[in-house]
Amino acid sequence: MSLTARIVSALLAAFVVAIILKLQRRGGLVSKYGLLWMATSAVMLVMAAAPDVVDTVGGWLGVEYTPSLVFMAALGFVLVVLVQYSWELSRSEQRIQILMEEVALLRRELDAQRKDAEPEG
Amino acid sequence: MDNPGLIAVIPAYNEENTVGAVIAEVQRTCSGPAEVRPAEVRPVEVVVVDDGSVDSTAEAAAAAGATVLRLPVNLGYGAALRLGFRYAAGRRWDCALVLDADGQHIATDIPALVAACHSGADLVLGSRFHPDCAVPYPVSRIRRAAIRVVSRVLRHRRGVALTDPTSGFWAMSRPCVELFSRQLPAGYLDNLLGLSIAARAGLAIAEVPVTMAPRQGGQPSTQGARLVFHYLRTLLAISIGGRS
Repeated sequence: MSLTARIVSALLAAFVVAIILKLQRRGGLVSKYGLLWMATSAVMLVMAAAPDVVDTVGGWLGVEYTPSLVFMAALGFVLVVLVQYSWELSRSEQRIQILMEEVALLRRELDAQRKDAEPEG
Repeated sequence: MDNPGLIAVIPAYNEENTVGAVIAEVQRTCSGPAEVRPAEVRPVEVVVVDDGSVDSTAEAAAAAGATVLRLPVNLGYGAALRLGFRYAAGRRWDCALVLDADGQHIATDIPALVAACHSGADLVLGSRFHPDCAVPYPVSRIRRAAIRVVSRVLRHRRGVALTDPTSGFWAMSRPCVELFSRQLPAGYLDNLLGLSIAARAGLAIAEVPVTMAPRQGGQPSTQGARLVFHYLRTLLAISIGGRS
């Protein structure tokens, strides 16, 4: 890997770390996701600093063209994360719906009680 | 006197122009002196589920004498129905109805639905395409095709043969409403999933012919490509069960 490519990928990884840290500090990110992306950018950093790692791992696994290993791993990772998000989103939607049903029923209950409490006429 | 009567659930989204008239129609059909109203129908509690309307649907419904349940945001027809069932499950009545707020369902068909419910059916659907209908109801080609596919899936997967499974005009027994309030998943889309759940639970399902008026206001809930997407989701939910 050329020096430029290594610098670019290191910068990219550093950029991701910076964004995640900023989001986390602003309270815009739940810590489990913060941790997930920090770990991801750590892996990116390692690969930028020592690209030979990829060849070594590829050698263990018997992969001939090792860069394809990176693509495969990245794609697999992204897929897993997306499916997990879909699941989490579905669960959130359901919880929100149940919450809103409760709000509607409670509001109805409250209105009825207020009406009863009002003096006649 | 012990006379629990009926409960009518009307999901409504931005229907301020029609909801009041629909409520008045239902009340006129189901109340009044016993000698003038059909024997099947008895005084009615009308429950309007306001599905996060931005107009004055809730006020119009309350002014017409309905119980109003207000969802704070728009969740869709199925979610509004689910809330209606949950409310109804905690009330006293002997037959529950569901009808549309846009005036498409005609209150004078209510006695026929209630009669079918009283004679043993747990879930009665008002069908626009029943062989006994005087004039078949005109619908768009996509919708017609979608209804055909859904009918077929329901027949094969659940063993119920219906001419108009997508009908939103229902009468239900208490076991049916209790089943729905327990088992309809949150995120419930459509009456079709309810139908599928009722069929799976072995409830008796029947159809009666109804006439349907052209909608008097508002917009169809889904159209065009969204309609296709909607039916695909529904088919998935019906055929493999689980959540919608």
